[in-house]
Amino acid sequence: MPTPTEPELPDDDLVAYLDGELDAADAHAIESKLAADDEARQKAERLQKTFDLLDYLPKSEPSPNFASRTLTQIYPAAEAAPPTSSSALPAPVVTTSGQALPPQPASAAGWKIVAWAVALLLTTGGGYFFHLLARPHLEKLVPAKRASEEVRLLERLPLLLGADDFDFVKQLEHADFFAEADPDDIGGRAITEIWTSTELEQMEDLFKQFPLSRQQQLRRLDEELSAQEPDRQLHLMAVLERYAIWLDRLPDNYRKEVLTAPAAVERLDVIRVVKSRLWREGLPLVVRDRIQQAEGPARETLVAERKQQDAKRKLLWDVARQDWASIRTDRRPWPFENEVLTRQVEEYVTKVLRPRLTNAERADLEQVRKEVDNNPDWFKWFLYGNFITRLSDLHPMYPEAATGKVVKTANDLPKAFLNQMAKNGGSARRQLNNHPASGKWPDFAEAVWKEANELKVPIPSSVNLGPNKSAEYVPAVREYVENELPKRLAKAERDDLKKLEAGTWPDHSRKVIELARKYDLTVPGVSLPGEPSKWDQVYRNRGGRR
Amino acid sequence: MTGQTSAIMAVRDPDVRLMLRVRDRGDEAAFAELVARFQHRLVGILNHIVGNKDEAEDLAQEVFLRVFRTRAKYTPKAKFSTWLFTIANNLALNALRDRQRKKHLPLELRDSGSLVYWPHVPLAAHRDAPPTQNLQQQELADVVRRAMDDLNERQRVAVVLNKFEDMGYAEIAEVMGLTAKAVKSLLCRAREKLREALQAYIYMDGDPPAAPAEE
Repeated sequence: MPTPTEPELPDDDLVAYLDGELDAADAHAIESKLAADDEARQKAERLQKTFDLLDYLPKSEPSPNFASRTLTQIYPAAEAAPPTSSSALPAPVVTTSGQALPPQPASAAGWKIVAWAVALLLTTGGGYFFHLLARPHLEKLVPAKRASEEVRLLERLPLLLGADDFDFVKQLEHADFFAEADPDDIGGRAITEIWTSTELEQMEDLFKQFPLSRQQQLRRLDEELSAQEPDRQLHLMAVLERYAIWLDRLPDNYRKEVLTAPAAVERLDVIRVVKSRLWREGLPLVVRDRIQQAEGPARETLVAERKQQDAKRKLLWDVARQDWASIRTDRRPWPFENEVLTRQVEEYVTKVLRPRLTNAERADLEQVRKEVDNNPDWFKWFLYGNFITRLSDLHPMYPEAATGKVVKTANDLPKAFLNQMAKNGGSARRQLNNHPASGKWPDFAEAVWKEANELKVPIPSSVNLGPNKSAEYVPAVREYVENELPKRLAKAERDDLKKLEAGTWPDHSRKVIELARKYDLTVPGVSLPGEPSKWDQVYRNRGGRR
Repeated sequence: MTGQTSAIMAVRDPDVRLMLRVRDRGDEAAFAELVARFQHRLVGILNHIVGNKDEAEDLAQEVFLRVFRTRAKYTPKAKFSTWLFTIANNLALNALRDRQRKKHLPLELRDSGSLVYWPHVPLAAHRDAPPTQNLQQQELADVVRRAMDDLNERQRVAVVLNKFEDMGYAEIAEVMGLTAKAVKSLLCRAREKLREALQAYIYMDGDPPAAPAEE
């Protein structure tokens, strides 16, 4: 019986505690209570165990034709065949109708950029945005008839506003600029597809203010961006987005400086200067003074050291901020909280990744792994996961050959081919023998393939760089390519893949990997075990989670 | 999380992107992808809620149809799955209410919150029976199913989302149109009810009954 000084546990909190829904203080209160009270503890255990019994409920899978039945109901003409391509669809482009979307609450998700762009329009006396003052030249766009390219351009406009052309965007990708996500960044909208029709009209009004030449420049930039591979496009949009957010947060005078630079080259210089100015302004006064007083190389060293410290702190802070819940309970980060997956990952590291590492990388890997063993806390596992992700990115794997000798060293290459390579300015046999990838497949094969392509030396058919059709892959991959993957693919994709079998390595393998990534699948023995999107989410793209 | 932040985050969700392609371009491939991605979870969850596989499939199909039909109104706020399960929740609750109207269940069953007609054997009778050690897996599944059916519809939905979708209270609240606080007490009552119903089937100090085989 509960005594007056020890009131009965409020059950709401007990259940919430079991569900991990209490904040630290409340959880602590429950824990103390549980530690002191047998009855309460038993109750908690009962609650948990009866909840676990729900695992006995029969699990049901949709019938095999569920998806096709559903799709047939929606697209009767398409029958059960998988959709071919999105462009074949007659469905309306909703955002172009101007009315199809419900009105939104006063642009909660709107960009402030529009506001400053408009403000600049009114205040800037010259330079980059001077042309905003000019009379509109754009032919009247009838909203109901907007082509989807127009919509795309308008939707992206806020991200493109501060950019000159495609080359400029490529420069922004550099580490000095916006290559890395700022960990303090809450993440933005790289794909600006969520405009309401009112917002689109605002964008259109803005766009119309530009002189024809700037309109054309923006159109060209948008087209060039759209011509990139989807992944690349996404990446560049993310870079642009970081740039736009950065601009948006700049003090007005700094932003004006950036935007009024006469052309791309100068603009990049201004960005660099503003960035380092901001960085310095953000330093503690003591550090700033010390840097100010130092001279020459000493000053550079101080700056470099400080930057390194910052980067490290940012990573830790970023990790801590995003994964606080699991760190606090000292669970392991994905995928290591799952025993089966951990085993698979460890096997992948030992059998697939490790043999292809350089000695230095291997030593580092061992060190990082040892630290996990010494002190298996959340951070150590995270660092390990992070490290193997980086290593696997540095050493991309391709599906292995079931039989047959593949090229691993210079000795596997015909002399005539090597001579031709050397003649065209490539590496001679001796150099190739000392190549860091020598003896390793596919690293060596890929190096040869790249060099031969660069030097325009045809690869003789006798040279087997690697398997290029499903029949030649090791059984697990073959099974995957023939049975697993096609289920997820559109017909066009299946056809493309089939066609590549007639080509040469590594085209088919690359396509297999690309498609697997697209559909978030794991190619056995090739990709890190577990969904690629999870590796991205946990280890690659920090900064944009939840 | 503010509306703006969640909308911004939402666009990071690959499913939201697919849905935006469906919304803005009527992209058939994107829709097919969404069906492929969510059919398993949706049918599984609906089956746990309505307790009947065929009906769960029909409902899941209806959910996807609804998604497609209302695509123009879609505004990304949070995860796509939250929106999907919101629709599923509405349809499942409607279906359960329809079923209730049709079956004209006896009053006492309605009072107990049960919406599925099931020969009503009070579970408490099992309490004195020996614990579950020898109970076959199928029997155990039946017992658990019955305990689930004895929850009221909202409790059941909340429990299923919590247990099988691993949803937190805030997300369940969003799906069910409740406050997180309401979800907290809803789940508390549900868990308490499950504990009462299933008490006889757990071991407190020995090993629990063998876990069911996967699939």
